[in-house]
Amino acid sequence: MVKRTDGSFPATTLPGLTAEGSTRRQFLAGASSLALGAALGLAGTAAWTLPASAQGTPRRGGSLKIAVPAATSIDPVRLNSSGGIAIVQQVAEYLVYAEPDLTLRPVLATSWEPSEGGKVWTFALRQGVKFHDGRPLTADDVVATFQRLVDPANASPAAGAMPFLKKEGVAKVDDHTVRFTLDRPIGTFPYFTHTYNCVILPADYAGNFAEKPIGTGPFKLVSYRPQEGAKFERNADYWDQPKPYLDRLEIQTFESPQPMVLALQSGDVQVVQQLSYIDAQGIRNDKNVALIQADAADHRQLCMRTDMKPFDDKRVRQAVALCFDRPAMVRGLLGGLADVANDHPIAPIYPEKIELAQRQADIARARQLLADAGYPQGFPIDLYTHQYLELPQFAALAQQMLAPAGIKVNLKVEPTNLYYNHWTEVGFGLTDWTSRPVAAQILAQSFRGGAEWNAAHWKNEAFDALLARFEAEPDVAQRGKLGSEMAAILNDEVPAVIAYFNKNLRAARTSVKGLTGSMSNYLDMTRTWLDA
Amino acid sequence: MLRFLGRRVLLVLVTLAVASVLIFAITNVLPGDVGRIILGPFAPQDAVERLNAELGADRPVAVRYAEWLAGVVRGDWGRSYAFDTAVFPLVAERLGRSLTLAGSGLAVLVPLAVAAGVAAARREGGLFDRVLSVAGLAVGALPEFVTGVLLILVFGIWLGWLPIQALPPEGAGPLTVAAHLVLPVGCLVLLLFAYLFRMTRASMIEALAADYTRTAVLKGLPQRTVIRRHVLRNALLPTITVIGAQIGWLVGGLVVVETLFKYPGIGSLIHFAATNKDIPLLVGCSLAITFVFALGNLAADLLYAALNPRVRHGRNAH
Repeated sequence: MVKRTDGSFPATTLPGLTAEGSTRRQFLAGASSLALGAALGLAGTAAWTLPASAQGTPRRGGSLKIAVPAATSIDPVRLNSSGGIAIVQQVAEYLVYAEPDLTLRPVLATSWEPSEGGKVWTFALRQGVKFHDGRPLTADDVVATFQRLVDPANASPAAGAMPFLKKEGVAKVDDHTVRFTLDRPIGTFPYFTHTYNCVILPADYAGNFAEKPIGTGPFKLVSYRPQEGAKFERNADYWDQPKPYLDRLEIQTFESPQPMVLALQSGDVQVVQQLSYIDAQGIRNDKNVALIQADAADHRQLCMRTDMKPFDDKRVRQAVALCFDRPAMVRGLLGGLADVANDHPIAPIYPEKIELAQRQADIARARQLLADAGYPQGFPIDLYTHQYLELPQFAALAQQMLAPAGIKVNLKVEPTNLYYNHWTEVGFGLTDWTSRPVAAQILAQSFRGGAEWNAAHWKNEAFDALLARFEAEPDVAQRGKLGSEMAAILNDEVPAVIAYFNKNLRAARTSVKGLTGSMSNYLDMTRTWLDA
Repeated sequence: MLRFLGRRVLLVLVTLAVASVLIFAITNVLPGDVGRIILGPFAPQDAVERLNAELGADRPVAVRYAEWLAGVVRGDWGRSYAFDTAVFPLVAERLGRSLTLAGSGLAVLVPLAVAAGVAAARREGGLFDRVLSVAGLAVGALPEFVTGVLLILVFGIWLGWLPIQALPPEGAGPLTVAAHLVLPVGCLVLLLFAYLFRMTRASMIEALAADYTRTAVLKGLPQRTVIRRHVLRNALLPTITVIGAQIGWLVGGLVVVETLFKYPGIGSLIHFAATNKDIPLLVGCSLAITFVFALGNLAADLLYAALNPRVRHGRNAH
């Protein structure tokens, strides 16, 4: 179990050695995250949280069935579906693992060291790790893995997550040392190696994961069947003995949430990897089921095209933001399982403490701003979103909340695949964003001028300059200051209304011990065991 | 009869060819981009284009069709874009499962609904008739995700009598397989009972009132013979056609039942293929379902012909 970092830790240290056995030094988490994290975590404890990680002595043996959402490809280079990610994460591992409190656990890397102000990162690899076919893990495998992911000749979502890493930037120093040379300094680079595609595969991997599923992970893949799931058995040679505790694991993929919950209730599965607040209603009072809640940076961006009428005027965007009663949305849409947000994506889970006055609903002021901008009677507008989680309900609520200001919203709720085909083009769009372990990832992807997913088509040079410094800055307190400045700009300019940060939910039968939640909905089963 | 059969088999082949052309044509208007769907909303656009090129999904639909056809002739149905696996074995396995489910459903449904329809018609307006007509309609009007969830809650969770997942563990014996199928089959029967029951009942009532029945009765034939030889033989004709037409739907359209009972059949596979724009998989599934549909209709027509000499002798003289 990872302990929470000490709140009094000086927040000036560079990300240092994170050698196993020694005190895990804090990488990101500053004093603020502890206080906030504790307060938020405890607030929900009574009804929702399973104190999952510390429940007696782990017991070896047994088999466990887990329900996950649908999987498409399980090729680590391409994969993107929740189910596919959960399957691959049992077989192959990352260099580091971000814990629920955002401390970094060494996995295949034992330590990491920045130089040249965060532009060069050197990772020491764990010795004595074997792939499932018996070959030892070496620097060649790690180099090949990252080169494969960022090589423009391969199609991988990871290339978008690490735009600052080129194929030539990954190099072997010796058999157990790898050096990453980035295009620009990135103070939190180790977290980026935790992107879901970045599991370490053998150097000769040829895109045939379903037939030759070879990794270093705690479990070996025995079989995988499309739309059914995967079966695993314990990797007896796992480097972190006596883990894993389970002998067998089965991951079943489900096309819709309700059958998952029914299967959990009947005991056909023991864990539901992720579920929404609405889906969890049926098991909220089931004494055989525990709900595990994780703070997260998941949020919804209600983006307004700043290069098109009517949202090219800042006052109009501010007026929209002033129409939302955020605490009411958190209660109504998510049963309180979210934190109120302030039109910027730096969630309370991040160590950067943001200081900014909370925007409150104010219809009179919204009407005034609209009148000043030349829309005294308001205007009609199409709002696009897709059939996913609470997004349609959010859109319907937006329609109601914007009406008093005279903004007549016409809802366009599309199928997911259709929406994602044009989500950055629509004038007014509501998009779901999942957590990233580093705030800079979300800021860079959605608000940097010219970024591919800058759905608001917003450009602000002062913001971009701050963001570059924020990305490079290794010091948490400094990043907090820069973050506050960026948040203030976003809050004033409102390229997107961000009303709340969702929490992630996971459900398990009470016989399941040592299972944690995850801000990314990642599934780490190394520490999980079954109580007889 | 042979000529009739030959004509019908030819018709099946033409149907399949037309279906494959239509499916390829429709894929052009299906929303979404397969590369974007596989890599997700946050993949860079050039990666998406690279993947589309790798999959060949960026080429004109006519080229893709020609290649696909050439493959099918050689016995290769192509590879699924999303699952990166050969289409034919996957479709064949799913089709087998769906046929098992649909077959089990029909095996329970048809005798039950027909017997009930006959019994109700013979005492039209009686208690049995009224109760079944109302109850059947009420249950049949419920969508399968409501009846299915109720069945799961009552028999799977509260009573704990039956497994709620339809797929038995590997290597299970026939009894276990049957136990796993009870709930989904029950769901199917509840869904379709009213339709078939009312169909049989209406045809029976009509046949009972027909001149030939009165003649047969007046001839002094025993009631059992009248029912079997004269009434049933005529009354079942429309029912057979209806069942034949339902087979295609029963095999390919059970997406909700398959999803609810976690029974990956061809219905959920084609649903996946369509929503993910997985063209090779979509075409494979569609052809398999079209084939079953055509065979179902063919079987119904043959049975119809066997019962109705006018069709058998090629004189469609109405």
